[in-house]
This record gives sequence, structure tokens and C-alpha cells, in this order.
Amino acid sequence: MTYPYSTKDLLDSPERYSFPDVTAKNYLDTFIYSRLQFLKQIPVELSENSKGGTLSEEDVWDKIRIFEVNKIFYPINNQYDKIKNVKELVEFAMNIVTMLISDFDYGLFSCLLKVHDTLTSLSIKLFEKQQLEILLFTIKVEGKLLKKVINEQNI
Amino acid sequence: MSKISDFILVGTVNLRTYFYLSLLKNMNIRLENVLIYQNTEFNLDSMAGESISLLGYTVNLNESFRSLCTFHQAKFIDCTSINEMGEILRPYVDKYILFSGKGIVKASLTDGFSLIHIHPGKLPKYRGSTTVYYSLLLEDNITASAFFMEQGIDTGRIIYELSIGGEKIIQYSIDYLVDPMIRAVVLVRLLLNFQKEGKLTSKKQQANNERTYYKIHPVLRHIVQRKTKSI
Repeated sequence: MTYPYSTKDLLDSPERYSFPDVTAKNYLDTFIYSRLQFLKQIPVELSENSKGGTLSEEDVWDKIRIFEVNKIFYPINNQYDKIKNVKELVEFAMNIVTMLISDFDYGLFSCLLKVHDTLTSLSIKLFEKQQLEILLFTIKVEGKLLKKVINEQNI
Repeated sequence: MSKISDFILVGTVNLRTYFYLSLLKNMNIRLENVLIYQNTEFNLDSMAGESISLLGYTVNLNESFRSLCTFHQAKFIDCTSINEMGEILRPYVDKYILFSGKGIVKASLTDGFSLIHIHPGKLPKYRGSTTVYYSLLLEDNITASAFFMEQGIDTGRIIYELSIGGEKIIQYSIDYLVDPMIRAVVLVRLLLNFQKEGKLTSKKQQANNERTYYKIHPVLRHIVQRKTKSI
């Protein structure tokens, strides 16, 4: 089984996550493998950028409302619109991670997983160097938080 | 057979409506009317033979939706949304209308009728979508709350709520058995309470600044299903 959200460009085809089939025993493995495959594409000379979020919590929640409904921030008509979305989504991921580090919340974490699904479904060519450095950080934090959730839930 | 004439049910052809009609039948309860809109075929083949027991109530998925509708003398309405049914519902303006459909209900209906929705989450803490999953992650329990619908999402006065521990739902499918079942149990208990008390009492939700949950990510969904051993 392949992680289902890594097989198509989620900016072109936003994912609604309606009644997903998550029954595969190796579901988590496919998820982790998919994230690692993305990280492997990032040039080794780049290092994590943990610059922190710049938005207020209220602004982040406002953005969550928009993202959860539309899954994109700008309508996509051309490549430039995609790049605009990438920029916004990377910043959004950084802001969510900042909030999660300070106070873990399952709704926030769920949103971060979706944001990363979208970003990791894209061609690496769409990202600037600094964006990849931020993603290195946010995806690693996501991994640590997932490990914590798995331990806490005793599965 | 007990007939509760102060209530009607308005719903689409879906699993939740199936559970409502099935448990009402098991409890020998008929409502004043059952109106089914957005009439489509409902295929239960993949769940044939499944059953769930919760707090002494049981639903077996061994009867067709059509057969349940026949038992309840349901009327099929040629509408795609409850929002088109203002005139059809007019005779029931003094009744309680149990809503078992989807989508946003327009203000003229929520303001003009006593619409009741049963939400699978404790209110106001768990408003929004897939709250059964969030509640199992955070508190290892699930709640269903019956409330009078208003324009806000899952706001409105609470009529009845029921919580059960996660250990009671081990190995049951959360989406296809647990979620509709706990709502059906709340429906039946609400009706039995009404029969006993002769009225519905409700209380205002304690706070209105609680957040809304959105569809849980599949990875977290998977974790909950493993936790409850439903996979």
C-alpha cells in the first residue's frame, strides 16, 4: 500500500479527507515512508530553519478555518499561483508548529498533517531554499509529535 | 406499540436515519410522521450481518432501509434539501422535528421550527466534524448531544446528552456502527424521557467561545481505530 496523499498534486486536486480507508495495518509505515521520501529530496547542504511563527494565535485559527474549507489559500490558474500557495502554506506550517510546541492540540496537529500532505505532494522544484529549510524543521517536529501521540495512546 | 405524536423525523437515506428507524422499531416506538427526502437507494451489503449493542440497546443491520420505512409508514418527499421543505413542514410547526440530514439549515427553518439534531460530541467542547475521534483521543470516551438547532454550528440549547467510555466500543467500527448507534440511543432515551415527563427541558450551552473541530486527519483516525481495536 502507498500513502494515498502522496500520489497526486494536492494543490491541483485538493483532498477532502472524506471517510478515508485507514484500515491497512501498515498505514503509519506508509505515511512515514512518504514523508521520508520527500525529505530525501532536500539537498543535504540545507539545514533546519526554526525561525518561529510570526502570526498571532487568532490569525492562525483564522487561517485554519480557510485552509480546512478550501485546502488552498489562492485559486490556482497558473504556476505563479502555485508558488504563492507554497509560500503561504510553508509559513502556515511554521506558525502551526510554533503553536504546537508551546501547547499541543489535536485539532492543530490534524491541520499540520494536512498542510504537510499538500506540501509534500508537490514537486521540490516549486520550493525556494529557505522554504525547504523550514519544511525540514516542521516535518521533523511533526514526526516527533506523532511519536509522542503514538506513545500516549498506547498503540 | 407506543406512538409519540409530538415528534416527526425528517432525514435523508443514510446510515444514521437507518439506526434511528431501526432502534425505534426495536423499542416499539412510532413517531407522528417520518419524512424521507433526497430519496436514493441505500446499499447495506457491505455491512450485512453486522450488529452493535450499547447500554442494553441493540441494532442488527439485517433489515433493509425500505422495510424500516414501511414499518414507520415513512413518506418520501421529492426534495434535495430540508431547506426546500418549508411548506411541507408547515403543518408540523408545533411538533419537534428530529433532523437526520446533512448541510446547513437555513435560518427560516431553525428559527421557525423546533429542529433537533443529535451531534456525536459533548457540547460546547466538541463542535464540528469527526468529534468522536477527537474525544476518544483526548478523553477516551464519546458523547452524543441532542440540541435545538440554531444558525451557529452545533450551538443551541442542549436537551439530552449521553457519554460512554471507550472500552464499551472496542472492536466496533467507529464510523459505521458507534457513531450512528450512540446517536440512536440518545434519540430513544430523549423520547422515553419525553413520554415520562410530558415535556422537553433544555439548557443553554455554557460557553460560546469554544472552537470548531474539522475532519480529523487519516493518520489520527488510524491511531484511534487501532486504539479501539476496530482494525
